[in-house]
Amino acid sequence: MKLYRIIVAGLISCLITTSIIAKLKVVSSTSDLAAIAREIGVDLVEVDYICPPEGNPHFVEAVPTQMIAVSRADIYLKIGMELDQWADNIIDGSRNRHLKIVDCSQGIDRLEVPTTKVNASLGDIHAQGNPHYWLNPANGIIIARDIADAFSQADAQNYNYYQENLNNFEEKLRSKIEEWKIEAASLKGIKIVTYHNSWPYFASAFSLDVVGFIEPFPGIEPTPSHIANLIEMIKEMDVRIIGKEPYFEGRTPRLIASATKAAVIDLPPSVGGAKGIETYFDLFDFLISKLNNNLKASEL
Amino acid sequence: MLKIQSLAVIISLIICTITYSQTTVNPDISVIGDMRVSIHDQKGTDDYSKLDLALHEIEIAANGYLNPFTRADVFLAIHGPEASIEIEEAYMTIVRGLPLGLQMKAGQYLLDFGKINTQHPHQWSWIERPLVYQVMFGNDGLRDVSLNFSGQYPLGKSALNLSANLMRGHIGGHHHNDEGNEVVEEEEARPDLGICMRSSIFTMLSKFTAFDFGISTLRGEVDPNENHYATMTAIDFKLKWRPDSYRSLTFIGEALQNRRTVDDEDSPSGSKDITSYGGFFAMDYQFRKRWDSGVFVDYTQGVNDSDENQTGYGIFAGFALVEETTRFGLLLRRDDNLENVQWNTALLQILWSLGPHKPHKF
Repeated sequence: MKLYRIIVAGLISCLITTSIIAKLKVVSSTSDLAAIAREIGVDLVEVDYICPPEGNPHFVEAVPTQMIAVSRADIYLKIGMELDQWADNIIDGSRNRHLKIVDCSQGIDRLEVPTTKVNASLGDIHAQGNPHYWLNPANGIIIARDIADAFSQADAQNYNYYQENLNNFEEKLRSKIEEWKIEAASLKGIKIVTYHNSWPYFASAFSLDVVGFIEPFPGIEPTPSHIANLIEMIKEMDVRIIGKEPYFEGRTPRLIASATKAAVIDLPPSVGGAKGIETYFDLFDFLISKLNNNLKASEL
Repeated sequence: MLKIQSLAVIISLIICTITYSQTTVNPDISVIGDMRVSIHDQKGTDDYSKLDLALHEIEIAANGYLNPFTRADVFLAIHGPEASIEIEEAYMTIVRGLPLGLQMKAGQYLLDFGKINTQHPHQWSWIERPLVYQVMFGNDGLRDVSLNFSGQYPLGKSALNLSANLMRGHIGGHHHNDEGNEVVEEEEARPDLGICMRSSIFTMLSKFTAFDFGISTLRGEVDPNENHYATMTAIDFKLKWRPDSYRSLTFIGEALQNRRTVDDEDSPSGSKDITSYGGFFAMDYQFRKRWDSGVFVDYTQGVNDSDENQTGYGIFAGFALVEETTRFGLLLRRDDNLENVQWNTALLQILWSLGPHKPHKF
């Protein structure tokens, strides 16, 4: 009887182990892609990400433990458009010959694609356009489709499962987009200044008017003359909100706010970037709610 | 003559690049310039207390994939306006596809002996190559025509890196003359092949703190005519705390032991075994996005004589206008040698980087 129990227990643990091993292992550059991947893969995937949600996705130092994580992965999800160039070091360092790399920017309707020759005098500009595309929730659908395709190819026997999850995600996201548009109606046309040019997709989705940036050029630290000009512009245009990504310093935005009527608010551009943002849906709930609250406060 | 040769190489490089780009994807081409303004008070030298301007190095890099499995990296260096081009590194790497998760590297490259030998000097806030590397391996560190196999494996939550190199055997004596030209010691006989190995463990101590510890060893023939060998062993560490892109604190250090057989006229056998040591330590604190400063300590004994020694220490500060594209570094150091001669050096480094220079690894 004892032997029988041991054999049954052994078989059960083997089955459990096999089911764990059978999961698709996915690593993404950012927590946003990871969040969407979790919606598509649910129980059949293990998802990890490289750039911490509170970190700046432009700058990640490749370390061996990240390479080890990618060496065990089946799929790597890249932001692309030159945002996560550091991922190449990690992917090469992983030595993983079976790794499928998915560039999630492929189907995106890109914004701010330079029409003239790009050079470094324009700052840290991306030749393929602004890469912060996940901040338009409509692009979440395009990203999800790419991810579902990749999962279905890598794990064809669960094609229906991934497609069903994709359909559910699309349906929920479309419904949420309608809700968000209603909630964000009060934000339509409001003028905001942000630290970095991270928000054109979000602004396009919810009709915000981003009129300036604390950085004089993308990726370039603010200069005194630029700050002085920005203060004048904010006063002239009666800008009430200065949005700051949490990974940028707060001293300059506070300085500008103190000289104007604008308020500084932290706008996390990624899932996990603030408490309560656990999913891709939470990200937009949080951003719209925060902007609405600050707009109301500035009108009082 | 040297200038003509240099020009020919550059033109060939450009022609190759253009031809290559017509048929396939263009490799990344980048150029890094390193200009230095310096003054020192070392008595008995020609440039005592004279302000000097020098084009210390121009590095030209071409990097790219050859196919889905292999990439190639070429770094050419010119040390000064009168100097010829030298091959700093030129190698191919099979990055994926080999069994056991191995990578293979073949060509001339900086060997992974210690932590900083594989790095190019523009990565160092302390600006100058540590004395121990200059004395033991020459101005450009330890580089050789070699074949490398390396693997990276999980060890709990850490990463274990193992690397083995088969070297041509030329483990020292690479220096530059006053014009910046490479001085290659003529070999009267071919040295035996050498070996160089390194193992290291990398771990994240916390979300923002990374730690790497390595042990390296190499053995090679240093005097083929006399059949003299050297065995060198080093331990190294790097500890970095980086909570965001505005602050970081890095501690880095290496200690090296050199054991070798050298000529000794007083000995009946005509030779003797010596053991000498060296090491360096640096602390670098980035206190603003573009600013950093730190201290370093440098010590080495002679490569062939443990009674010779040199000590250096100093402070440095850096300002990066925009990352590595434009950086100003200031170094104030004091050196002290065996004859108890002391001198001070002040050095301003102006560094610029043109082109798509890839982000550095830890």
